[in-house]
Amino acid sequence: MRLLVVEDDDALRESLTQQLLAEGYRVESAADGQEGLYFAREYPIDLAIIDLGLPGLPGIDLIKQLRGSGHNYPVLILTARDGWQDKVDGLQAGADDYVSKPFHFPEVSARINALLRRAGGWGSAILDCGEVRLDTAAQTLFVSDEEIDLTSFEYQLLEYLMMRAGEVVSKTELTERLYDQDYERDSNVIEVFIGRLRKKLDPDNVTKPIETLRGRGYRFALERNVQE
Amino acid sequence: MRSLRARLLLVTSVLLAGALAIVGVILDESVRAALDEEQRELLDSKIIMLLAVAEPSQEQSLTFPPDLPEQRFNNPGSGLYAKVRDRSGAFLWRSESALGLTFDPDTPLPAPGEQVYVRQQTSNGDTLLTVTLGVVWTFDDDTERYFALSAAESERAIIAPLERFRGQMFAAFALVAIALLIGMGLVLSWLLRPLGQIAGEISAVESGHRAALSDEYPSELSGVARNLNALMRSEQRRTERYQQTLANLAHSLKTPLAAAQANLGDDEAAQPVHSQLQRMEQIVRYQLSRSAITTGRTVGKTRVPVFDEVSQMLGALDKVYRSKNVRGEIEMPADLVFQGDKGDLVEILGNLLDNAYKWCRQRVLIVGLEDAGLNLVIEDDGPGVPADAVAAALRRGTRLDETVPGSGIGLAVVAELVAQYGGKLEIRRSDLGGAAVHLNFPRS
Repeated sequence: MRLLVVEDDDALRESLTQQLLAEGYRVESAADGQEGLYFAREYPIDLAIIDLGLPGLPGIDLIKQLRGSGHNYPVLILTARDGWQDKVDGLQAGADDYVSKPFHFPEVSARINALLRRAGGWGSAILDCGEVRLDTAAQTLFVSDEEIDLTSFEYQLLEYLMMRAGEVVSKTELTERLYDQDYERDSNVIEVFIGRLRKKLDPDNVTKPIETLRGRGYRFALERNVQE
Repeated sequence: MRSLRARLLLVTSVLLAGALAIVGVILDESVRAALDEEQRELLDSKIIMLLAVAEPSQEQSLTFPPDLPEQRFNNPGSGLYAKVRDRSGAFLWRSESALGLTFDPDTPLPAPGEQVYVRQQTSNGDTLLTVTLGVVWTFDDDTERYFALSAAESERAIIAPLERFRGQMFAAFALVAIALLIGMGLVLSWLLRPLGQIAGEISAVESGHRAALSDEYPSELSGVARNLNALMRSEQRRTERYQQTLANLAHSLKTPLAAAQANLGDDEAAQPVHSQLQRMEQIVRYQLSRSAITTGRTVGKTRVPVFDEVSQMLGALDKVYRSKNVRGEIEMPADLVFQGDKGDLVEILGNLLDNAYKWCRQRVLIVGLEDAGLNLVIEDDGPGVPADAVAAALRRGTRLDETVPGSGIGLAVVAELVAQYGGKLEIRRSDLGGAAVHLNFPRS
């Protein structure tokens, strides 16, 4: 998952970026509204965290512009003003949730997780398809109630596919969202990790959880279990 | 006498009555004097007439023809009388009209050639004006004899025209007075209309129906209107600047706090610093929101449509609590208005509705109605607030449930805001099962 952080305070932006990286996200960061808008439009972003009090281009306008140019990914606003008017304005401009400053990082992390799940059509922190259960809060995987160990990259890859269970995800999309640097982008690596995931999820090759659609990409094929 | 109109009308009526009374007395006196003069002249001419028709008699007296040229002398009780007396005052002759009347014998006897006017009462209660002329008649035998010729007329003769005149005068004066008072009333309402207008506009500004006073006032008031407008504008600008400064201050205090908190990490050793940071955050948040609401709210109130604000707030909260699938319902007339600052209403609604969304299971209901001011009830179907915890809930910094995130100042800020508007806030139990926050804002 690739996140965009637009925050003008250097210390806060830096620590937020570090903590998000530590959670396994790819992070782009911008220090002002114009730069943020550039990243928001030109980079493959899954979620943006935008401070409302930005120099250059105010956060509200940034959100309006990126919504205006057809980007629908979730936006989380950070606000230091306590006024509800600011929050309502931000949400009306197209943001999906807000966090008031100062905040605890776990709260931000929980909101991000919820927004990403919501964007994928999931109602809770547990992505539940067939026998496969991925707990996005605890970052644990259960297959038929048995816990399976995943490396960080495997987890990121599976989470991305399961978030969008039922949809086709291209290799390009996967490399863009999961790699930080251009030189790392080698679609063969993705194929290798897909192979490893298949072994871990379905050692006997019965349920076939991950389909390959030649020339188009991959699809997580197990039915989403209806959540209560 | 609180009304300018009443004061002016009272003063005008008193002055008018005084002026008319003085004019009336003067006119009455001069008309009376003129009538008096006329009567004297009339009596003088009657005496001349009597002298002209007088004939000497054998007994060295005067006789008059029985049929005098003035008919009134011949008719008894006509009000015009004549008599002739000698030097001793004894009656020598009296006119037919004086028959049966005690025609006063005491009228003075003037020297020959002189005229005396006397006003006297008769036996029948009438008042007579009597003119007596002293003459010395020279008879044919060259003897001379003194006579006093009197002509008298009842005062009734002049009272009737005088009364007629008074009647006409009073009627005319009454008409003049009524016309003047009506005119005065019209002039007054024309003059005072701008005052009524300015009062109306000021209360319209107070209730938020107008932004400023109009500039169509007479020159005596336009200065006042201009200055009031300038005062309201500067007050509004000052408030805006103040709130802007506070918002900037909040921003510049909280971002470093957030950075400090983010950099601190979550390990055991950092906990005391975390709790200190949290205290600082609460202080900043509470004091800033409190000082923002205690700024002048004397002028520049607006009429904020409640329904629009509530539905916008629900739209925003539906996004924030999307996974909870809350059913938010609004029951209020579309034209319900809040008189005051839009930001204050948004703050009240935001805090209360956020609480309701946070605690409800499925339903949030906002009821609004106009009854002794604006009434709002925000209800949810959550666990509610226990009666013994209500006071604590309204205190700042108290979080009834530490497991649900929040700053613990929302309700305290709402309570202060509501008090600022002279309103009431009560937390009761809702029919839905959860809390029902009742708000009442009296209309000013």
